[in-house]
Amino acid sequence: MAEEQQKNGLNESAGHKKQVERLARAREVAARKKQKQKATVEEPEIGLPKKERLKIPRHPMLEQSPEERVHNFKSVVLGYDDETALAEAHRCLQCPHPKCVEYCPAEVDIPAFILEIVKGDIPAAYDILKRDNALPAVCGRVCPQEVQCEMVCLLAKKGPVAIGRLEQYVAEYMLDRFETEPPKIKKYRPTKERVAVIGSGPAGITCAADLVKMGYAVTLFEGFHKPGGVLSYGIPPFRLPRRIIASEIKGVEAMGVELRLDTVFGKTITYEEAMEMGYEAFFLGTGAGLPRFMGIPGENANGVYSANEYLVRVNLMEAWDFPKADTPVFVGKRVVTVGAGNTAMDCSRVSLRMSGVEESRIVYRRSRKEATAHHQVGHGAGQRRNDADEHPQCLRGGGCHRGRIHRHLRRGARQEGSARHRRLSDRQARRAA
Amino acid sequence: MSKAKLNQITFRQRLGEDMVRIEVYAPLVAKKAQPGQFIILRVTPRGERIPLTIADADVEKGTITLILQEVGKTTMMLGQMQVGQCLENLLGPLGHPTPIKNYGTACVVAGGLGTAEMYPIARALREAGNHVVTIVGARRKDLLILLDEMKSVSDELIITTDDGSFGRKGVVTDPLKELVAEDRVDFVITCGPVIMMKFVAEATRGKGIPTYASLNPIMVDGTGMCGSCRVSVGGKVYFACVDGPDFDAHQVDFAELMMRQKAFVKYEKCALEEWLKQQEEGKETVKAG
Repeated sequence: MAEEQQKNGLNESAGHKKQVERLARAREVAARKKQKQKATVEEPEIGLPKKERLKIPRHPMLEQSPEERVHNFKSVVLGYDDETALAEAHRCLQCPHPKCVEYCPAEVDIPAFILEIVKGDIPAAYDILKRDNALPAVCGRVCPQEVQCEMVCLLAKKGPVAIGRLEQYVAEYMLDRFETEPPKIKKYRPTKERVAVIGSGPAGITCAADLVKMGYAVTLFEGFHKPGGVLSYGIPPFRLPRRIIASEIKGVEAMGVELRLDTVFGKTITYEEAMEMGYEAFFLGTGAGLPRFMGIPGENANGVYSANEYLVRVNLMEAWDFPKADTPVFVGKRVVTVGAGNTAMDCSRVSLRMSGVEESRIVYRRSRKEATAHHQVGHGAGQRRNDADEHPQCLRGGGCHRGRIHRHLRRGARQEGSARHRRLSDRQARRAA
Repeated sequence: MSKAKLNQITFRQRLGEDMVRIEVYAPLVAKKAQPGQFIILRVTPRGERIPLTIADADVEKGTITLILQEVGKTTMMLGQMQVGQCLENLLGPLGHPTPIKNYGTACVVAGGLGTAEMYPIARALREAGNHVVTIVGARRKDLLILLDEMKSVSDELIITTDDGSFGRKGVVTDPLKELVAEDRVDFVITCGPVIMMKFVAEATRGKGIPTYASLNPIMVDGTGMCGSCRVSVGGKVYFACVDGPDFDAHQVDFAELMMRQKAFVKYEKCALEEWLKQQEEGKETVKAG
């Protein structure tokens, strides 16, 4: 791989000053990591010339076929392989004023980590990701890149650099490697006060990791028997495999964070007790919120679940594997999900995978355009999705609704990049189903 | 005895045919447990979360007492666990404590397993200065539990059995109705089968005697984030795990509660049968701590 890079590598004259600076920084990281392929760093620009780069189209993501994936809870996306990742990384133009960094909430140095992929130094790329973001493996999969970094990519019109997929590639490449050679994670010795981080979801993990690096003695409190918060109970395993969560948790524990499961803060340990125990600061990462019911007749029927209950049963308690796992969930044959946000998509997609389910529908009071779900989440949701121009009026038993459903919509194609949907007549839709 | 491990069973006693009393080492829970509160536990790594009432707590020993009835897979596995073994996990104390004050004459009505929940409440009511009249009912004599304990915390103890094998023949509402007719009751709290709680509420409704029912819907997380335990009280939806478990019995929609409790009957039966089959084949052993 090194040879190839040298061949491709660069004949263009010196680039912008800033770019050189970034390169210098990347070079430092690489040197520190003592990687083999140091030689290529000597040039001011790495990889293909710009003109060549512009010719490469965005690489599609490999994924399980719809027929296959509706029968399992394994990851839908299969990730880039080494060659695809390298080729996709070459598409990055290494802008001197990278907009993507600006639009990333964590301000990850995106061009720098992509450059490391081009250089073939994945550990260095991982270090860059990890520097600004405690959870690259999670973010690579569940971040809405299409409205953040990728939206402002210079190549956005012809297909932005697949930043998310590259992040996922780097993080999971390292995860695989960690399985055989455990990461050397620096354990921080606390020199400062005790801090209680309440909730072990993404916010809590990130906060705990940052605080422990700053020298605080951090305890991460979790009410459930498993850590991860929404990552564990909310996001289904086919969107975020559980090994990723486990690895991130192991990571913060290795850094010196103490994890306390089965602890409802305020109940198991009260605020006063925590003060006595020496905690001097508290971070409340208690999560997105509680279910709100609509207050319509029949919603307390046994076939009606809040998304939280449904997802907790299936994702956290593994009801999909009943009776091997003890927690049951009732789904019936036809499932209607009310709402069209990310959570609704997760519910609908989970439903499709439950045995015995023949149809999973989404009912939403506005049109598809207004649906708040991010593209990647909704990707593959629902066998058939319906637009309803009314709120559901009544739920009964398994959850039938009396809102007028006026149009059936179906994805024209399930591949990435062709997110347009064909409008079908009712008859066509029935036939299609 | 060396120091117990967290969630370790330190005591076990069979109470009658299908009920077991265990003590579990959970010092943080024991320290704060109040009458009416409950815990949620799991027995195996892929087990379900079940709520159980804290029947008693010993702060010094750091243990809580749980009483369970072996009705399904999880409770049967729990009933088989021996002293020294550890639960997979335990979370608590959850729910609001029962409002305890001096009401005058407080009537505690308990049915079957509900006796376990009513015991600490009866004791607290008595300590608060109430004249405590306890009515305990069961189908048969051998299903009655905690009679000695109940006797020790009650000023009057009335026992009923459906078949008359012990105490009065009949149901708990018979003596309750008499007490209500005599205007001897100022406050009623009840726990037991839903149908019993419903009739207790009916018995006191006419005279408007404040009546609380400790509800026992199906729960998952027990922290108010899922809504599995939702109950309708006075036309509004409440989550029993965080808003309860005690509610104004005159306002509770018992029919809905009964329906919701039956949500997984089919699955529970399937899980139990599967497990019993495995038990016979001797494949499964309860995880030792």
